[in-house]
Amino acid sequence: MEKERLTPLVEAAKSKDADAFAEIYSSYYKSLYKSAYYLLGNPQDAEDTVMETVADAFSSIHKLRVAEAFEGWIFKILYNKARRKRGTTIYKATVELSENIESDDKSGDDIGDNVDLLRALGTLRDDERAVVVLSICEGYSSQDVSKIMGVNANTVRSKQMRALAKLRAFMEKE
Amino acid sequence: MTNMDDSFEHSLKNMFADVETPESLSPDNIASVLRRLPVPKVAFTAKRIMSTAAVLVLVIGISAVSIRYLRPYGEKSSGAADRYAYETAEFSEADCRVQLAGEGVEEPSAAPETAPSFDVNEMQKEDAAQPESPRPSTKKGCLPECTEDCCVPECPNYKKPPQ
Repeated sequence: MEKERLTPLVEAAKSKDADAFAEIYSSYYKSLYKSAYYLLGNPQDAEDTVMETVADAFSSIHKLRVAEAFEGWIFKILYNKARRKRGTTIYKATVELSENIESDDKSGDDIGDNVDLLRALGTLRDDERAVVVLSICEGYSSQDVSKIMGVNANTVRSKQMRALAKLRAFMEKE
Repeated sequence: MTNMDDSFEHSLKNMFADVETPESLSPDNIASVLRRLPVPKVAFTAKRIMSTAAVLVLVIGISAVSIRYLRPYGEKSSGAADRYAYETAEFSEADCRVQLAGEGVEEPSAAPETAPSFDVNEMQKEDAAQPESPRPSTKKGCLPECTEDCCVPECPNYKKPPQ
């Protein structure tokens, strides 16, 4: 969303305008849900997490100083909620859940269509999975990921390399 | 990063397929949910009052401590500061005289050149002329009205107290 459009909407949302907040949210909700889904491994937890994230973001949007930071800010809330939820749930990577995925481009996949991505992600540690989801799936730079996760950018890069090596080893074995 | 790593990342990115978002998370539905959310005005006000009170207590505490311990070094001073200034200041004799005169205290007259003389013999005579007053007894068992001489019958210096 462009800054010119985002800034007045954020200001309106700070005045508890639900419609303004929903308009901002409409630009990000698919990414939020997708990230939550791959972070947590099941649609129910992902839905709950996005709902909690939205409620928290709406009630505390007055703390957001710069309107352009909205995207990183709401993803940070989502990441923190997902991390807490991960402490009480088990990564559920089932074939049934995989059926909900609409694959858009697997023709050029040289790894193989039969590899279950969720099962592969399930072999990673929570922080490694978060780095993979945010950087590979959502396309954030290591700098942005470091802000969302609250760690050093170099740490993000090293976690990403380690996670990719693990994923490759798992997929080749499968 | 090698080409092999790049191609793996690309393949992996393609594997992250889009996920169908539930209807409950649609922007319209979220807007209606947010409209129903209660606005915690009371809690917010209470929180503000508490934080303001905490800041006030902190400021008062710091002020009290600074007045108690740092005041003697300040410009305007309390009694302690005056004392400190007086103790550390250097005064000349002339300053003291001026100050005393300024405060309306009479300047001391010139000191006598010779000290007053005392006649020891005369003083001894005066002492002898005065009758010695009986001092109360401090001996154990003696009556309060007894003098230095004991009034207990067992005492060798027993004298019957006056009736």
